[in-house]
Amino acid sequence: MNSLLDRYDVFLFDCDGVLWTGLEPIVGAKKLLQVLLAREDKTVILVTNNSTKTRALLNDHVKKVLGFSMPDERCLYSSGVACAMYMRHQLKEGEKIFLMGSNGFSSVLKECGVEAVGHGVHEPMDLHSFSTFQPDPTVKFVVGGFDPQLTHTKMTKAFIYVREFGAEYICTNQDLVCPLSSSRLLPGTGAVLAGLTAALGHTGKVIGKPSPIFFDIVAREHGITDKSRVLMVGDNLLTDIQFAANSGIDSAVVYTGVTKPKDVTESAVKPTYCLNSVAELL
Amino acid sequence: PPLDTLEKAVVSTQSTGPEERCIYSAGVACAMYLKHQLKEGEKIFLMGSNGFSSVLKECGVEAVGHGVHEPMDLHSFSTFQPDPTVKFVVGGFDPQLTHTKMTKAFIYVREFGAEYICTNQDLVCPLSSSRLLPGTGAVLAGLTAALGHTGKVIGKPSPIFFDIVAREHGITDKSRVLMVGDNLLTDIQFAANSGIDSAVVYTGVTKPKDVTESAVKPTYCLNSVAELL
Repeated sequence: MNSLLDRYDVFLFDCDGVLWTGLEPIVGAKKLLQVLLAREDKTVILVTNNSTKTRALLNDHVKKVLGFSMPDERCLYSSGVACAMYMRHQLKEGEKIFLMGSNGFSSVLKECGVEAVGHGVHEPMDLHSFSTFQPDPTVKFVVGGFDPQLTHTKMTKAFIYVREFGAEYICTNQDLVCPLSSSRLLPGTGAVLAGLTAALGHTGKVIGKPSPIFFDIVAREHGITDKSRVLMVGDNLLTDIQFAANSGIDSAVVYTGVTKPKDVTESAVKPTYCLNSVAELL
Repeated sequence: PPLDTLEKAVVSTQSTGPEERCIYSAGVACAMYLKHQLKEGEKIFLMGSNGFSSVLKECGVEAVGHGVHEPMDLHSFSTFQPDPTVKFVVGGFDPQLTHTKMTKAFIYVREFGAEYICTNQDLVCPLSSSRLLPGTGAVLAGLTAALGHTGKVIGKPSPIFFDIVAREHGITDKSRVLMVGDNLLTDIQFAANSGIDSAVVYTGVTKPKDVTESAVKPTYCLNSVAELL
């Protein structure tokens, strides 16, 4: 498989199910990354839909699991970082966003100079109190990510901002479930945001995988112009492999996460390559 | 109906006097639906308001899980052990539903075979003529999306709601029943699903052109209930 390392210069990796499973590294992942990072002609970029960590915290996790940090934090992207970059140039002085997301996501936004209101715990509001609810007129976007504290009250404010006051609604991703282990699934960000999706009749603009907006943001920051030299490596057909297809780049699915060979057979979207694990790239 | 009037109607159902038995909420209907299906010691996991838990209690249905849940780190769910006496997961309007509570409900249904029922699936409810709010369907949408289904809907437009009312009141001749409502998707659809006639009134969410554009048609169209006199 040395030909894959020769055929591509930019390697995008999903994290969970590809480089590690929870806190356990995938065998061979560490060595692969170190080989790639040592080569000046190769670029390694991690792309995760998990919006709850800042780049620094993501790098802490890399260090904890793989034993080393990424030398350049700009090679770590979460869907939260992508949202922050997407909005950064669209907000004027004094304009804000209404956030349904984690503390980590609000830190990411702050680091990008995006001011967020609304995140955290909301006191439950009696439905009739909403008759007199006055939104903040400087809010131009509503931003949705994984939010452990999203309740009807917070969702309703977001709904009013979008439906009545024309705020643009963007979200990190729409994964309905995420695997905790091989037997237990948990509702994902798509499930957390499903209420707003249902009430509005649309998901808002998805910035994270599988949206090609995520790729455009990465490509712009890293000056990637030749898509034919980019390979996306992931374990999830609907997010990672679809992302590659939507972005016009090649992809490799690995079987160390949520996807098994028969899933590829049954899937409408096909990866360019199928690997047992990232170790096979070496 | 709006939450506070629902709560008043529900909380006022303190006895089974004849007046109160003519007041049904979807919560009351769920409680009656469950009452005969739970064995001694069996419980339900509730995503709903305090009012709903009171309704269930009055019907002898024991609920666990409602109220505020401490946020759980995703990895803590690896060791989450559900209560084995929980046989149903019940969803209603829940101002305190968060990902943590939803996840427990999801595990009960998906892994432990609890039956999932809900009061209704209204995506929005009108606060005023200009302001809409997300409704129960929106609150429960996350669980719906994760499970891939809404669970069994007990309230309007489900005919189960009519069956429950009919049973308690001994209604046997459907041709002599009229449903009057303002919402085509819940009230008029409910009548159609239950095999009874209906009248839509224009004092609420529906206007004449909505009836024209609707697949489900009421038997009658009235400007208001006053026209019944």
